[in-house]
Amino acid sequence: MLKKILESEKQKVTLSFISVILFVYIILFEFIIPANGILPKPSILIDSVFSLFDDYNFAKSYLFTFTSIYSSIFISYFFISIIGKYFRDFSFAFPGLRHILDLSKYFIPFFLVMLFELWFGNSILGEYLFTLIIIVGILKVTFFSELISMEQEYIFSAKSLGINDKELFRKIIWKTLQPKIFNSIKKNHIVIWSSVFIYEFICKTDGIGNIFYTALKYNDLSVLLTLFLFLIITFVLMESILEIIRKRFFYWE
Amino acid sequence: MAEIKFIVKNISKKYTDKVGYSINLLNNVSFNIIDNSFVSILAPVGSGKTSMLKILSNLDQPTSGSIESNLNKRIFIPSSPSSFPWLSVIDNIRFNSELSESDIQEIINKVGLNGYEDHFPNNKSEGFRFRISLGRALANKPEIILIDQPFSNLNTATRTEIYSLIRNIYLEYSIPFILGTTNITEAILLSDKIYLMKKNPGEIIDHIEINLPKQRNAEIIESDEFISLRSKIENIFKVRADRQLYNFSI
Repeated sequence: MLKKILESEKQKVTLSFISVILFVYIILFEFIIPANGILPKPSILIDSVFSLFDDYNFAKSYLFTFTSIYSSIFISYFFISIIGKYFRDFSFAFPGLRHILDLSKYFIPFFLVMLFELWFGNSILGEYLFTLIIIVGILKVTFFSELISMEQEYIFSAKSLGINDKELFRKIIWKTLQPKIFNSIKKNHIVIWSSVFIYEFICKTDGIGNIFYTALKYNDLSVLLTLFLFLIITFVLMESILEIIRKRFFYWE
Repeated sequence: MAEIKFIVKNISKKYTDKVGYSINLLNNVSFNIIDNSFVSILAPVGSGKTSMLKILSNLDQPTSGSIESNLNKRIFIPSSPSSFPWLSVIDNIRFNSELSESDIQEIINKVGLNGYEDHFPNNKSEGFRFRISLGRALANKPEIILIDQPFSNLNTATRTEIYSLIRNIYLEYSIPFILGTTNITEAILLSDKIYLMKKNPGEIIDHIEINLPKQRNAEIIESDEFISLRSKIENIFKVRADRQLYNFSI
């Protein structure tokens, strides 16, 4: 595995860069300036991993946020595949809707967080609903814009082969859009994580965002940094998994 | 006795562009297709060939005019892309077909894709993808095949192979073909009859019967008969279509 990673030039450079940063950090903050107000000592950072699990109940929160994000992605994807046919009819009836949806993706999450804070407080249901709305919203925008710009030749070919409207969506339109929808999940992966994180931070649900809020409240810099590292590792790992899924199941894009 | 397969009567197609101008794309286009002949519509770029073929395939409606035909299964092969990239070669050809596996395999062999059954069309050449589209059309038992200039992006060698493939399929299956093209050589090489169409608006200006042998190969291009047909077509465009010929690929 390591040999494989080292074979790629880009990964070699990234790995070297991380190693240098780590080396400088250990030397500087462990031995030269251990007492400072900028970054905690590396040894304290290691201790904070245990503290994160014992005092902050990290395992439960992590599982909560992780499940909330990826189960919502899964549900949203199937939701769009089922109701996409009706979206299609709707998009032709209201072609300007695409631009409104495009704009709305920037302010709707913030508006929703405030509303959901009032309506649901720190309930699990609120967070799931919020995540679902955000992801369905993102996928819907992609669906609309890709539908309008999709290759009409596929539709003409299929129609002349005698495909009916119902089959046309399932066998042609959805198949054409599938990789684009999946790519938009990949592209907006960080937006989804950030939205859920902000939601948890504001609404104080049981997720990682709440740990961040508590650690910030108690000025626990080492926990904040460890948490941040865990998030980066999760994010990079999930990006790789999404890429594997894309190559395996959406190879035609 | 000759049987009329298609009667196209005064087809016109108008549309409004983004700025709001009404554009007369096709104007009173009329022609017939008799028996199972191979007909080409030879016209410059932007003359409405694709719209015309879509109307003939029942994929679009004309603004006025009518089509009389008893051919129900009209299969349209668009210029590009015409094979579904998420399906393998065999699944593409099997698409919506009721033929048995052995018949499908026979079609695969006929279009020259044997050995490639499990390959996918993405990252393959235009010629390869056209073979898939042709195979898929044949697997759906067409009564007529309409092809919209699929050869423009092919190299000369592949183009010659595809011409020969189409001509052989046409002779073997004995079904009418309509080809929309901008290429004079292609039109003469493949067709039994060529309708010449001008643009702005799209109108049929003349037609030419091609009385070359049924079996044709690329060498026929150098024959006197071929050369004379070609200059005849060029002259018609010079005289009757304000030299629109120069928009052609020759």
